[in-house]
Amino acid sequence: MRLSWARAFPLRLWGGCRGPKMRRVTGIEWAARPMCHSSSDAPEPPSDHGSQNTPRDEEQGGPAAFAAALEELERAPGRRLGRLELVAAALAAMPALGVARQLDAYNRLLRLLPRGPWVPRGPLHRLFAPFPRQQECGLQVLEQMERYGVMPDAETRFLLLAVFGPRSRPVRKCQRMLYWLPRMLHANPYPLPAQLPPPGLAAACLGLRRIANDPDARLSVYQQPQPEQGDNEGSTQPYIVGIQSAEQQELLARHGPEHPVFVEGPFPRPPPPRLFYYVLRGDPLPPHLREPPPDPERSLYYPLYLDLDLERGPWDDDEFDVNEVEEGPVFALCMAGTGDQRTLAKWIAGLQQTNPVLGQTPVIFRLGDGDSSAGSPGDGDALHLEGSRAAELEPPEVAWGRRAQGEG
Amino acid sequence: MAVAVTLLNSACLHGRCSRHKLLQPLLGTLCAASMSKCYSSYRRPGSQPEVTPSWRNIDFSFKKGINALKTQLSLLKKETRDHLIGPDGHSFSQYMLQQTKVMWVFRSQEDLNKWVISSDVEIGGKSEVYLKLGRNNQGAMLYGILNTEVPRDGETKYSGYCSMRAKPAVGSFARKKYYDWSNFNSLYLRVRGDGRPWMVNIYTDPYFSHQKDDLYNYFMFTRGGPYWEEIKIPFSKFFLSSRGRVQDDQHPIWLDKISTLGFTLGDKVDGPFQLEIDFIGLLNDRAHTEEFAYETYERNPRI
Repeated sequence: MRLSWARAFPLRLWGGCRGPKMRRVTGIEWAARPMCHSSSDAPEPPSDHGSQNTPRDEEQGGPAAFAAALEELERAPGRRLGRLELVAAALAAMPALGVARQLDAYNRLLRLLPRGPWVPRGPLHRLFAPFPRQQECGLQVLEQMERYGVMPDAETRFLLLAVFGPRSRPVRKCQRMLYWLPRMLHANPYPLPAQLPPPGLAAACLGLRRIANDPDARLSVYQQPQPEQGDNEGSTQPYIVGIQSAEQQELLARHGPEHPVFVEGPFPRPPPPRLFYYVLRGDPLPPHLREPPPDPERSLYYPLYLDLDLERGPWDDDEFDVNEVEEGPVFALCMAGTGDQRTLAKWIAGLQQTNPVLGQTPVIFRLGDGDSSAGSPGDGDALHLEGSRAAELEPPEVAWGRRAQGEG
Repeated sequence: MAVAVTLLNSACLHGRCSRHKLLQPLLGTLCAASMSKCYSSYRRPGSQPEVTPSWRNIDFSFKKGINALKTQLSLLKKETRDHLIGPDGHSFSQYMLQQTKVMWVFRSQEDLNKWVISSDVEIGGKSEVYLKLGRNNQGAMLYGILNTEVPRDGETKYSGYCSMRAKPAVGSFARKKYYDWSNFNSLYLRVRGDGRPWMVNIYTDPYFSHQKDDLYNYFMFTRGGPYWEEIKIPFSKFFLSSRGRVQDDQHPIWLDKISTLGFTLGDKVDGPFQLEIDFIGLLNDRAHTEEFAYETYERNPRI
């Protein structure tokens, strides 16, 4: 309750935190941490109650433990001292307990703070920047919410207004968050789903769908992992999943068996889940072997090649005066549990079912240069390995000779 | 309000050291080591403040000074000739009518030398970042490992960032040159990322020193995969931030005096990252009519 200023003045000079010497911890001990901590390991939640030690069931894990601790505090708030350290300890513990993305946890934490005593009284009081540590505590809560992408809602704002007053730094920060977070949180055109699948076949399927340019591409699982699920998924036999679109199939068919195709990888696709993908691609054809564009005079009644861009006029020139990096066409993508040649050879064998031309095309495996540290495709001699499936491949000398001719 | 990236902008080229301005052209080649220190005003907690005067780091050599003078004079001659042709050495009609422009292209080691890479090692973190040419000398590859472990110095709360920043254009006798991008309204990037979200920062060297930490930022979301992506970011989307905090008073970026461009990665995920950049260009997108994406009225009013 708010005292009149005459009685409040000697008690709470500027309302600052009293400091460690005044903290007489009697019934309740907190696992308190200093405010400006920077350690990365999470402490235990303030669970060491003296006489009020009730057994909590932690069978459901972290969120239940955190909720139980908060309930205990709500039931018996205890002394008025040590609240800031309590909030700091709770904030540090939240990521470890898995409640960092729950708005409800933050609201309940804010409810533990007193409403009224930390509101400055009048413009003269406000002039002296009152309750600095308290306001920083509120800012810490909001900063952690922002770091984990939690939007404050009306209840958060109401609590902050009650605790800190309308013109305080936490309320201002809440206003800013309500403006900026809806823009920034949803700006990603390729968002990851909220619940990521566990690393394994499901994650690989998700990753391949994201990488492939074509929503119509066909995803095929060439080999199921053995054992199928659980922590050691794929330990006996790794999974192989590939994706190929109809366009790529057509390109591969037209690529012709005299030019070899390369299996390159592993290329990283890191943001969780951590995956590697392998690419089946060919070299770009030298200019004299490329197909010329269709002659417009082949058909005088209708255009064979239509490129209508109705938003642009003939005066718009969007071409850049630079030779872009040219790379060969990509024919298929794959993700596998292990990256060795035998597994990838199984992938090629599976691809051959839908692309019979792979039976006559030499397949060269260029594994281990996933970071494109190889030189030009022509002089990657030291790095690539010949395909080991001799039944479908040509003898190496013939393949070398053909490659030398095909380089141009 | 804190941006998702950590507070400090690495390899800040926005500090000024006026004492060096006059001496720098002749002695710039001789005191290369002190360049990074005079640009950044950050001092690691626990480290001793710099007490050696900056002139001690300079190697006063007559021969080198004469060579430096020769290079600067030839640069000045080239600049005068270009100025007579038109802005930036191109003809006036090209300057007025161009709709696309290639600013930075990566085809040789010289192109890589125009960029500076940095990571949170400056504040005591453990991320690594490297820059090299890609396959066939086509494109640059920025790769490394991000580590979000916080340095234990009592002050730092977040860590884990890597960045690549273009060196500001320098004319003869170390005068600052600015890029004039007022004819364009979008940034065009041909990149091949690995799915991580990056942040593009533009620094316009401002006139007032209290604005020297102002940066205009926006995100660059990569998809990952074997295909090159062409990302167009209109300049109307860039928001203003200072020392890593998004400001309340927003205004569209002024494109007539751009100093540097940078890419930063700080998405709080540990692990390796990779970004291949083919070229960076500017585009005048006639279909983009937005002037500014954020409201400019008072959004934090007095209650």
